[in-house]
Amino acid sequence: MSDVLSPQQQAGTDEEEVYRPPGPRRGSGIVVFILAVIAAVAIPALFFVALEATFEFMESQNLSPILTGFVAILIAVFGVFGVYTAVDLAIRRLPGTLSERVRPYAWAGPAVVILLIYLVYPAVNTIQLSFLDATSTNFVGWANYEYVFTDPAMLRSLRNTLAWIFVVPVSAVAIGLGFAVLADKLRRLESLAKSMIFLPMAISFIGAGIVWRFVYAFRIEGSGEQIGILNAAWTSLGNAPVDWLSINGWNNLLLMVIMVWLQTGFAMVILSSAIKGVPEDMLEAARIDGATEVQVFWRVVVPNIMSSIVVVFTTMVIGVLKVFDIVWVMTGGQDGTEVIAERMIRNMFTFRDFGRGAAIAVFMFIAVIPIMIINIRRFREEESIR
Amino acid sequence: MANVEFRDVNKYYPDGYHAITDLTMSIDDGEFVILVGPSGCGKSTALRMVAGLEEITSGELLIGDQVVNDMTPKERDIAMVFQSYALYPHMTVAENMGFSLKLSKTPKDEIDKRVNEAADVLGLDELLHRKPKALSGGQRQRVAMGRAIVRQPKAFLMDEPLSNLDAKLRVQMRAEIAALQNRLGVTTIYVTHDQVEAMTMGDRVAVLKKGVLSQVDSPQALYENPDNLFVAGFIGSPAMNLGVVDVVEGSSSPVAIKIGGSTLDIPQAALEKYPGVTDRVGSDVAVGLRPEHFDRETGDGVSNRIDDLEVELVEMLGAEMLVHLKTDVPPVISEQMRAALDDDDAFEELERQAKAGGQTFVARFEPGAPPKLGSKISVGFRTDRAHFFDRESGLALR
Repeated sequence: MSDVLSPQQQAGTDEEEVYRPPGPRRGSGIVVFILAVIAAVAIPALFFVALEATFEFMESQNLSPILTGFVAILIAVFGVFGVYTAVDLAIRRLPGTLSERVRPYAWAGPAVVILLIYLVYPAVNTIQLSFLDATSTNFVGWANYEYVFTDPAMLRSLRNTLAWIFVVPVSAVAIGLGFAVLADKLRRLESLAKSMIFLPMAISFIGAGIVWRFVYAFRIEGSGEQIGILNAAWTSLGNAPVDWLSINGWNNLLLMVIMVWLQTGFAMVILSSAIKGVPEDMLEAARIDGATEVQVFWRVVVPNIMSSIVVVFTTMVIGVLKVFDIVWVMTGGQDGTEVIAERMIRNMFTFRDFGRGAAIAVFMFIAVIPIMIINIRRFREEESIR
Repeated sequence: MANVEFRDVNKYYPDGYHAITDLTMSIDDGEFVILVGPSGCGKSTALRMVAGLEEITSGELLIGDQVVNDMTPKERDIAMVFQSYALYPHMTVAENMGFSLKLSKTPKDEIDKRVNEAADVLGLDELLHRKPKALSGGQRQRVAMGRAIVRQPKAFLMDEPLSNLDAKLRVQMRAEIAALQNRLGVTTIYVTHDQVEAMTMGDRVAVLKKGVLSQVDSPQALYENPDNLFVAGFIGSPAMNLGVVDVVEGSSSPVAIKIGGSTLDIPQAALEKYPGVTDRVGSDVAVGLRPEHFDRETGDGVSNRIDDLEVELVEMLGAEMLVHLKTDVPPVISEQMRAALDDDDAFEELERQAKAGGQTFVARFEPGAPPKLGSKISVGFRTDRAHFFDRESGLALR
């Protein structure tokens, strides 16, 4: 099948044998392959045909939409069951050991086929679009990618996203770790304190954006009272009100604060449970070895929860790469606050340039791959320890 | 290296639990002392107070003639081996062992030298660059020992260091630790609930019961002269047979005890050891006899013979044979016995037997033809080796 080894095989455990069905194998490989492909494709295909035919029929009869919906649900539940049963019955009638060898593909295959249709096909299609022009009619070569790396707004978005990647995960992990350690010292109020920090996690990015618009709010003179909290604090110190979100450079940082506010709770919860997982004995051993509390934290606790820190960090980097909503709501990418995902949406749907939009999407996809590899590797390492 | 001294040490937990009561004990420089007792007796708490991991509520703790009550673990300069070993998983064996030296800013070549010496002693040379997870249980245990050794501390504290090892390894490490301590001559306090470890490893054994020091003495002295019912019942396996018997006037001796239909004279030697028994004529005492002090062969004329004991169970152990005998001697039902058994189920069984008016005695004999189950046999009860206690206070009638 493929040369990718499962973790068990990598670990070199020879005892675990791959399941081999009994019976003759020679020469029947091609037959099995053909039957497997048929079985894998047959179920989604049959299902699609059944659904299509039913709807055609029902539409021609001018039935009420509610009834149509009801029938669709029935087909979805019982139809799938029926199709699986039918295919399995057909497989049972295959001669000899053939049915044993085809059956796994019939059961797992459809999921793979559907995954291919909904995940791999759009990906391939996006790559294709990225080499075509705005209306997807003419081939333009690398022109769209050239745009990604030369357009001034794009370059600003690359710079900004890079800043986001450094600032947000580092601050959120650092603050989350700090809170986790401090909350751990509390006895009765720990869960209350943690809930308070975790609460913003429940707010959507758009919702958070709206909340923070009030924090940073600014009105030019004559158009009403200043209602922003930040300006309230600022003016109370004797300063004139400021339009925070239009200060180049600083406005990016102010947007990042929102993301940090949202994500710190996530970091805190994961790191807090990791800290609690460090055995008390080990901390006591370190204290007896002569470590101060600060040394215990940096030399024993932090190395012990490193894998959790990495997971939180990489998860946040991926989240930050995708950040779009906050910028969209707060500044719309104005005043030098562009980020990559915002540029993608802007090109794709505001400017209707599918080529450029697709090229940015492909770039984001490639940028996220190294982080995914780190994450998967971590995951495998932890699996192999278990 | 230093001596360790407890002076009227008390420990109350925040919930009011009195974990250690007036503990006074002095451990000499280089001595190996075992703290033993049933679970929850406060032995680990006592050890952790020496380490500085638990606060001392009242009293004084001295290490090297210096009061250390308010010192941090770091300032006390002691090393501890944990039951879980508590190795640092992200460090190699060498780094684990050298961590304390690194923290005290010892020069690197000095650290290497001392780590290598310790590794040599413990046979860890080949493993210095491995991480703990790549080691077996026995090897981890050695690393934990190594971590203590390299520090050359004032005292070693060990909290059930062998209880996570399998039986065979435990026997081996038991001997190794004892030999190592003997060679290094470092004051050692060793906590265990294992009888055999307590008896074989230390110079002295301190038996604790519910935070109170019951008796502290050399292992053999504890075995031969228990101060009270608790120590008598706790030390020794199988446990000492303990029961309540009536004291009467004897035929060839001023004092005798009644077991079953027999009246057993108590010889002068035993009375000299336990003079208090003489005052109990017409009353009762708690008598204790170790399993090995039953005689298998009994002549007719022997004065300490008990007849008609039903054989309930025979355990053939190769080098010895344990015979469980049904007697009409009521067991001692007291809080001390419950503590000594350290097993509520076993104590309930004892209470059940008490209600039925008797209990099972265990006799240890040379292996031979085993008596038939259910048959009735006669055994000799060596009153010269018996121990006598007040059944209420549990104190030896010395």
